[in-house]
Amino acid sequence: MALHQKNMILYVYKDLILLIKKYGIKEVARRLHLEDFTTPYIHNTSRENIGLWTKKAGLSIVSHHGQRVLAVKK
Amino acid sequence: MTNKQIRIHSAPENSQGYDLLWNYQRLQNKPLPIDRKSVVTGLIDPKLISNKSILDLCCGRGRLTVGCYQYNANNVTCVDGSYSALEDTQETLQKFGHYPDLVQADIEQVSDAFEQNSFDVVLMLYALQHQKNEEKTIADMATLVKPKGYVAFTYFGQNTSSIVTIKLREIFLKQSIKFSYDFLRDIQYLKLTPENSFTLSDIENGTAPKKYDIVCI
Repeated sequence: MALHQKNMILYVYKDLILLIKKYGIKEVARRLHLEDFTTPYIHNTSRENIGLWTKKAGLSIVSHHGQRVLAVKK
Repeated sequence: MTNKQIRIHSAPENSQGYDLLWNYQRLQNKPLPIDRKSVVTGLIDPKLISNKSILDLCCGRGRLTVGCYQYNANNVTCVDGSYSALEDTQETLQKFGHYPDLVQADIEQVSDAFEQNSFDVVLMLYALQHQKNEEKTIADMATLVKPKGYVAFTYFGQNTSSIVTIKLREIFLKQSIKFSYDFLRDIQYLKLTPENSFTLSDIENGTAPKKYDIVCI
């Protein structure tokens, strides 16, 4: 493992500890279960936007159940 | 037939981080996927992939790919940002006598990795949220699928974030680390809870059990 990777993990881990200190380990651990905590990017992945982007891409939605999309290319 | 060489098209800027993630799963001896039909049926009607050419974007260790072959996909092309993940996919599939095309590519550049209208079906499972520009990713998937072909993907809504989640996201944004969910899920697997008997001081002092090293290196 490259050294910079070790440092990267270390830095994140320290911040996690700060969060645990601030909010409590139970709260942090509980939040780690959340399915929607998935990414550093804060997307506006509303159902409406997903539908809009799919349409703009030239796709027609066949089904959109929950957060699963099936679309067909025109 | 023998394994095909993994084609390297492009690597995301944090590909080493992705490799770290997958290697970590290897270290935990997590079994490679075997029967994954349910992964397919949760995403798409299996009839739509039977005898079709499939593009499995962000394939990870190949759990969806395995399912596609179990539903008689004609050929699957696996793409991931991690070379290690593709190696795992290759290892899994060869046990079943399947030899998919494997391509390491930055998903942001995936539309350059293949010709337009190349695949009957394009699939992306639990990965859209990791893309910097998810609208572009959807457009790229549409570019790569043939006319009348299908695109199936999942996404995660992000409207229920707590302050902790937001703070954690800020940290990862600052560090440009993109694999937060799986990475943090593994922390959860490591039982980062009071019941696990080690204390916060143990973590800070580096005296937590050795198996936690991968997290607190």
